[in-house]
Amino acid sequence: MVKKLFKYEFLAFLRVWLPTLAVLFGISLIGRIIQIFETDSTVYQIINGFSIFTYVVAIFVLLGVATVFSIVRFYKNLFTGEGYLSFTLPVTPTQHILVKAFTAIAMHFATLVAILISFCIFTFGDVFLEFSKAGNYLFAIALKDLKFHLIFYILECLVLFTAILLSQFLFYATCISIGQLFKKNRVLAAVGVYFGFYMLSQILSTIFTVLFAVFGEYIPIEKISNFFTAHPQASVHIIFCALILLTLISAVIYFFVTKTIIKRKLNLE
Amino acid sequence: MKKVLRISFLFILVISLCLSLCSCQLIDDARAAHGIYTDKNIQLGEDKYILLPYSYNLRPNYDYSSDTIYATEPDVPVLLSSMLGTPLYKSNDGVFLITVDDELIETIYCKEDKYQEIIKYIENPIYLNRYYYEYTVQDKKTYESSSEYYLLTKEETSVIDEIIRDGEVYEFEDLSLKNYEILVTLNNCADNINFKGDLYYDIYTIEGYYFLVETDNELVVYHRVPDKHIQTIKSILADYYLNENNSYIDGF
Repeated sequence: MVKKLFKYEFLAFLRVWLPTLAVLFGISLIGRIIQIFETDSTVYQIINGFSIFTYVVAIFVLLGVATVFSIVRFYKNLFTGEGYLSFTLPVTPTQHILVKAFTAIAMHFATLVAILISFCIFTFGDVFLEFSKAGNYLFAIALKDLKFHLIFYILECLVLFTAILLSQFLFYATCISIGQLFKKNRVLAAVGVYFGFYMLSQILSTIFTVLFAVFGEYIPIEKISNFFTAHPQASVHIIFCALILLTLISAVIYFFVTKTIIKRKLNLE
Repeated sequence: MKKVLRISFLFILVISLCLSLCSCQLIDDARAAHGIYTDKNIQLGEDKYILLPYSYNLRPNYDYSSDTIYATEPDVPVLLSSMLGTPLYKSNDGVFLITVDDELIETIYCKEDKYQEIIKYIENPIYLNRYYYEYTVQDKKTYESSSEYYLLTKEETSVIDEIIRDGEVYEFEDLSLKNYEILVTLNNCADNINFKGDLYYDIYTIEGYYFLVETDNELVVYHRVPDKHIQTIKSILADYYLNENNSYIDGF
């Protein structure tokens, strides 16, 4: 059943995502064709500038579509009239949440790949060749300096990026879940919860900063600093792992809040 | 259906070929400014620049607004040349490439076709028997300034030497009480203006008279230009006056 859930999630996503992708590729191709007619004239500069601007906007639109659609899909599929059907399926709330989360993550990765492909189209030819050479050269230097650490850095980056995507999606899901506890204006309530969380995080950051300023002398900052200086590669690994852990902890908290609300406090429209 | 697919494939192929053959002005400019180190020399496009031995008197004309190229090892891509390469200033219509290190020591490369001519000056004793001065020319349309040089003729040079040698010497206790103006600074150089010495004289006007001012440490000597040589001094300063007047007319 979960496989079918994934299938229909992806289909729903692709119905919106693919046309946007086609527009992005079209804009990339048009932009590249415009560059064939490169001259010093003002007219060309204006047209080329406009094509680059349009291309950048199209990238942001595609990213926005991936993010917004995943949130809208979560809300509509579980908290509106569609929810009556969704919760009759032989699928637990945990599975519902995780399927939507992983679909969103997969589509975000697909969006990044699509952006890279569109960049290849936009710079096809000499420009792309030079970009590739520069990228290869920098990678070779990094590999020579960092050796096997580089591979682990890349893996840690990917894991951290995935963890951030998961945490962000579950955060939005939590805001929506808390919002639907209200009787009226649930979407507005969800937005309010989002800003409430933001303000709370700012207050906590301020408290932490004050505590650090007051009690900082008890923290062996110099020892930590010396360790980082003596072991730079290991320090980066530690920082990455710490960030991944913190992100996953927040993701787990958001997940349990969302799951609890869906399981015990569901109140469909 | 097959025909449609075949035509679509051909169309994409043709577009791809057209696109791949088209370069970009930015990339072309970057390539034109990308030099490659070969042994101790630099290959810049089709031109080869050879490292010159150090010579105190070899001082090509350039400043920090001169065209800059970046020299790198052969494996560095062109897009990274400005980041990883050594900046070199182009001077004298591309005859020289100059790089300056942190201690302000210049390393000069010379274009291959001019190398023998320049080496001749470096290796043989140079007699710095001419004078030149530098003046600023402002483009009337773009208001961009550039430096120009006037190399005195041998006759004009001998007049300057005669004034320094035989000219009437004046003393001024406090020049700020006089109506004076500093016009240009004459430096000594060889017939090839890139070879310069440290000797210099300033041309002043003080109370309407022309003076050559010689400064040696704190000792300042004012040599008045005799009447018979005033016309020569005016002709030496012709380019300076012309551009000074233009910049006053076109400036604000």
